[in-house]
Amino acid sequence: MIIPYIPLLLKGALVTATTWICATVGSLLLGTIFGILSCNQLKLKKLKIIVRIFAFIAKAVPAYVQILIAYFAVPTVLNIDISNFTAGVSALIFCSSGYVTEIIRSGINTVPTSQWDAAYVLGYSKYQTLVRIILPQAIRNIFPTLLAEFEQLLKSTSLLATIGVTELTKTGMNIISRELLPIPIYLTLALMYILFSTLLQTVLLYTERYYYDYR
Amino acid sequence: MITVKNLNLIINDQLILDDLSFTIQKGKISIFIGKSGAGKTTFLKTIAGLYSIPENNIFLEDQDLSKLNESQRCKKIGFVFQNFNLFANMTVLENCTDPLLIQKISQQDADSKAKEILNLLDIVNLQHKYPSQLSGGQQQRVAIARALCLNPEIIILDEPTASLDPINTDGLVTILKNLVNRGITVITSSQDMSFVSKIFDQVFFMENGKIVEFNNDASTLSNSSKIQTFLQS
Repeated sequence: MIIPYIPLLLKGALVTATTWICATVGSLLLGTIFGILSCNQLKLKKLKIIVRIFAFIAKAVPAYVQILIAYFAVPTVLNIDISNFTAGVSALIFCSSGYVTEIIRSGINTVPTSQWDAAYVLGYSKYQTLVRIILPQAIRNIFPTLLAEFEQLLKSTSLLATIGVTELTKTGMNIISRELLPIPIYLTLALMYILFSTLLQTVLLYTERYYYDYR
Repeated sequence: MITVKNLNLIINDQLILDDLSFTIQKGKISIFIGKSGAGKTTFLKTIAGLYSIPENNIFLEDQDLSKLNESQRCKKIGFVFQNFNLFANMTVLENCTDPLLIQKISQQDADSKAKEILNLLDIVNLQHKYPSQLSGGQQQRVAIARALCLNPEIIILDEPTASLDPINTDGLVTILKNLVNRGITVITSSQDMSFVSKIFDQVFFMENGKIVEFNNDASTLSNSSKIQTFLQS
């Protein structure tokens, strides 16, 4: 019953995977930069306030509303054309980077100040201290939380169906409206998201074990 | 030789170091003793640059310490923290090589220098272990090795005996004497008088941010009134 639709669903799954990868990379980059700028040790008071306001807004507005704003309001206000995919991914990056900023900031703040002091007396610059000593320890501490955020982001990709991006959920809804097979299609969608999550967990947990073998 | 001239340090509106003036001899072991809060650690951290060094107050030979940048300072002064502060994400070998790599020394030279120092301190067998897998005494040796890798003229140890048992303390005495034999100036703080009496060349007794007594003669150390009061308190 489902087999003829598998290629279509796989195509949708590919769009979901692409969306997730773009949003994850974007939010990790943005969140890491903002997390570093707002950590206690750098003492950038004004920047810290700006970043905290950004993170607050990103977390306060629901992802769904952010997607609608990115697709309908932003092109009108700025008088530009953007595809539904670009608008959706941008909204997901904005939304997720608010959480990633807070996670990275708290991770950096949990590394003892004594590690900064030790690096300082050994001649490390602040940048070298961050990259070589603080971030590796911080990311190890926050790995489970980051993993949970990126899993949440995977599920949020289904919201892009509302602006017409033919990712996995939208593909399933299209098949249902044409073939009237709601139960098997919905169950297949659920199964495919579970497979995605399992794959994601396996890869990230393997990465954690490989890179962070110290206690 | 380190010359300190009229050094005052105020932190959070509190005078922590009060008009310190003295000379620390080159190639000797100088020890700062006194109660907790006397200002010993603050003084040692000031020399290491962890508190901003006031201009024209501390001189290394004839050079004003406040004029040195981070890279110049770390090659002259090594610092071993009371809690060692080894980099938790690096192995023992990486803890020793990484400070050399950021000074633009090649990986090969950094490895060979680090292994030479680890050998000197008899801990080369620990090179692939992480700090969390080491005992307190082993961590201290690694911290000393890390500080020595940059070939400093001076090594500062903050309360080095605080978490050591008597056997490790004796091991530390041997290490410090070896360092002095290699021409390195050792500056340390301690509250352990048996450790102090075994190794000191100069003792500075601190109280409320001031040097209140100085001694460079082992035979008269036990006669010192301030030290006697300190031991009885």
